[in-house]
Amino acid sequence: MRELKHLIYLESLLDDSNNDLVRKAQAEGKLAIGYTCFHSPEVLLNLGNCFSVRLRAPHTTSMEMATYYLANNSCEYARALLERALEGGYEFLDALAGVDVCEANNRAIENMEIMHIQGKDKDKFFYCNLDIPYSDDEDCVEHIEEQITRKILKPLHENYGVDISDAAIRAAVEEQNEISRILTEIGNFRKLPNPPVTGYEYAVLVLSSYVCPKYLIKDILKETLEEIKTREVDPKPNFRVRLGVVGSEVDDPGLIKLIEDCGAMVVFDRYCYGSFPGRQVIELNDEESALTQVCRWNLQNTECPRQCAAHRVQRRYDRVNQLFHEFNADGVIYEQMKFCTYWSYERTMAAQIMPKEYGINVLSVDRPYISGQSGQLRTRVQAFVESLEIKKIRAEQKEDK
Amino acid sequence: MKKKMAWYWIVLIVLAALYVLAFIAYMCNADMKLVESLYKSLMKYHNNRTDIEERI
Amino acid sequence: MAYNPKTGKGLGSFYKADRYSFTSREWRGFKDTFYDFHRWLYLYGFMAAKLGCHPILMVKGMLRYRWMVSYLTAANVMDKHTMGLRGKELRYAQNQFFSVLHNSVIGVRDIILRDKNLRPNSRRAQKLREKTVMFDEMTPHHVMFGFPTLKFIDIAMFTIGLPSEVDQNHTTYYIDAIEKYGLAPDVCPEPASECGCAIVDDYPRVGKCYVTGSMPCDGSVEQTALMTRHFSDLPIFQITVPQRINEPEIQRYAVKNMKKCIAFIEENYGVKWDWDAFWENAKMYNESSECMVQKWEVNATDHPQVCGAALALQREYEFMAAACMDKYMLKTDRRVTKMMLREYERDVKNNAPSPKYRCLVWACPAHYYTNFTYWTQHCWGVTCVNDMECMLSYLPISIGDKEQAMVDLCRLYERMMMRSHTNGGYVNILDELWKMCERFNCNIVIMYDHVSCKNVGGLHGLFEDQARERGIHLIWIPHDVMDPRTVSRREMREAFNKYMTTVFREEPLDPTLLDYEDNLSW
Repeated sequence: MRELKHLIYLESLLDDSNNDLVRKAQAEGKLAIGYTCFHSPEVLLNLGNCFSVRLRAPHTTSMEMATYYLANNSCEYARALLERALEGGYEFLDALAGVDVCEANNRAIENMEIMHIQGKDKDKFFYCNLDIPYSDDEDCVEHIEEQITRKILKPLHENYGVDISDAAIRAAVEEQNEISRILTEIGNFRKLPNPPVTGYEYAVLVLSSYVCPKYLIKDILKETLEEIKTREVDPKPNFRVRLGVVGSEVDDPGLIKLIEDCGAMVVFDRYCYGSFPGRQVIELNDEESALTQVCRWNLQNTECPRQCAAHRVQRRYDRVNQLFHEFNADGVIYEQMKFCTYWSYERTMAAQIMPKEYGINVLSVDRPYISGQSGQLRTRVQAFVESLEIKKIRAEQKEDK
Repeated sequence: MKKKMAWYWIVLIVLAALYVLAFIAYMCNADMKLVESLYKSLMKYHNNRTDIEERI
Repeated sequence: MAYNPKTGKGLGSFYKADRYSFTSREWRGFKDTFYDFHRWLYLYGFMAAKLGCHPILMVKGMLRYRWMVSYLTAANVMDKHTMGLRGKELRYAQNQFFSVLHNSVIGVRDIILRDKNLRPNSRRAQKLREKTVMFDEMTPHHVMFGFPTLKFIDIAMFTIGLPSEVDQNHTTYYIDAIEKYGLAPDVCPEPASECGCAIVDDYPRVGKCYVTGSMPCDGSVEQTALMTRHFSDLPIFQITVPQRINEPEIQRYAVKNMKKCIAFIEENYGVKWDWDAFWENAKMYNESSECMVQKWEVNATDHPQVCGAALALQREYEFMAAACMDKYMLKTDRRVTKMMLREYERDVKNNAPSPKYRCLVWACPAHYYTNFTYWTQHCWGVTCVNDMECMLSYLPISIGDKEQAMVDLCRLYERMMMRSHTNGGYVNILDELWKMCERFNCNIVIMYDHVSCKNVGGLHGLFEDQARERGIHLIWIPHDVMDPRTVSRREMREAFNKYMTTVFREEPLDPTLLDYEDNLSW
């Protein structure tokens, strides 16, 4: 297939958190609100003249400083973020909306707070650690709404004069929905037997929508959608199996590239920084406040294993099963960021439950933060692809007989 | 004629002997040494159980 | 002083590399030896009275459950914690630890009487189960204050928590089981071994419902998810107390969640929440907390009394396993507090010598080395005057005010073991440590470096930086909480030895304790 027109530019936007579009928006007087986790509702960080930047630490090599401040068995993602913060990589931010969801992430943000990584003369800068409930009932919604109001909306309004009205929230939802519609439409092409977009390309598109101001990335995504609609595909698909990737935070499209280089096509992305969840349309009604609805939507759509209520655990397995069939996948890679406790348990359970109860073939792996060059991972994915291919051939032979 | 020892003396002597024996057992840690051999055999039994392996 | 320079024998001589048990018991002088001997007789007598009348069930239990075997070594628990102690210290420790064993022996008896696995066809067991609520280890049981007709049993505490402190190698089998299942070995061994126990189906079935929670850490949350699946045939409730426990705003959700738990128990057992019983039990909690605070206050002076594991472990079990509802434990509290105040006054009057070094113990300790602080005391003269593990909720429950009492009840959950410090932000563990150092007049902190804990580990650098600024000696002692194969007891001691010899230039009080092999010993 011919390369997408904006791919190289979008890749360049992923090279640095403080990328071209972020700088452009800030030059226009916009406020950059950093966040790390799906549990900080993205849409509420895009109110008025704010825009959200989901933090990443691309091209991380050494994490020595962060390893000193955190533990050497802390999640590499959290350590990479702290390292980048200590290097001054997030000084461009105007606020940091953190969450007390997992230990590593929480401690990383606390370290940033104590060490004032925002730099000097930022009196209006604020940090927060949202208390996120473990389930999704109405008490939980009320709880998270109070947290968000007190810890994000109030300081945004008081420190920066940001409009936090119901109308402003609805406008932000509409803007994000537009992005979500475009990305969903692109993502749906992956259901086709010979998709006009690769998993890697899609990962780049989705990721750039998380790290760039929405109003600046929208047109690029729109144009890319049109391009994909008419994109000429290779006569024969250049992959042998279709895989879904499920798991913890993947902000390095290099991982998806590695998987696809092994002869697979990543057809669905059910991981943090992926499109499931995060790039679905948020439907609002007029009866209830937009804030309540956004909080509920976030709690009901999170796929984080932190939600330990039995129905939420079951929902996660069912969701993977649903995506597996919807996108005609042949197998699923359950991946976890090394040292992530939540996903370590979730992946262990899923590796047993998915094949037994859903008949889905699973590869269960843990991986470093920057994993695009991991030889060990490549070998494991290659072996998985081959095993799925053999299974497919055998199944076809059976059918022929 | 030998005088027969009163029953309470016998009880007292038995109790005293038991007390001394218990004290010797206590000082020598005989109770724990006995438990140790029991512990070892029970652990051996559990290590050789095959029904658990099937459940994993 | 247990070390005899003439013979060269000391406490280290009681360990043998190839033995689980001590070579013998220590001669502590006539009075103390016979005191200890009589306590030993009493312990066996108590166990015989409570468990000896169920010999068949006990044997069945030992053959069915691997963890039950560890309970055979109960007397060794007493020995390892009282070794080297004399006089008042010996008496404090004996009383404190006996109350823990007292509660545990009764707990084991209650388990074998109810267990469906041991007594599948017994109607009596069935009847007992109908009135019993099963709890998870990291979920306090204080909600049972208002249910006097129901019994609660902490199944994870009796299968994993307590045996891991009794027998250092107890949990390794369960850890291997879950790792064989696929769990990464970097996670905390505590929830991991609890999950392993579920995988090999080693939990007793002693109740009609199961109450669990999202307690102190990420591992605990995931253990809850796995255990919920394991007990999927039972009605289950998860108490999900908020994390940011310093914020008063979170109480609204916490109270709602607690009320739901109460409704769950009422519905499943057909009983009603009893406020009278609640107030009675709340008073017991208040009194036991008061005793604890008194111990802290005395330990903050130049003449600390109830120190080390005797202080920490007893409170931990009183709060977590017995939910402060054990009358015997409260009686012990009263007795020890009275004794402590008397001895303190005597020490002040006689101008008794203060400990050579005072230290605080911070962060999560090693279950497999609960007597570590006694070792520091005997080997180096470093006395532990307080331990983070016993700094649990101590604020009283408001008696008579129902709404406030519910908030207070939630606070017990928020400020339970570990959670009171590891949740709610760095102020609760980092800033709190410096406050405690000042309060207890300590410039040494035994900083437990639980190698799998990403929570306390996440403040590692800040602890270092801030301790340096304050001139406080942080002695990092690595351990892996329930897995002595990762960091052995010997390696823990080595870390301490190194600090004492290189930084303090100290000589050991008992050279036989400097280095010895105890990989096997319980």
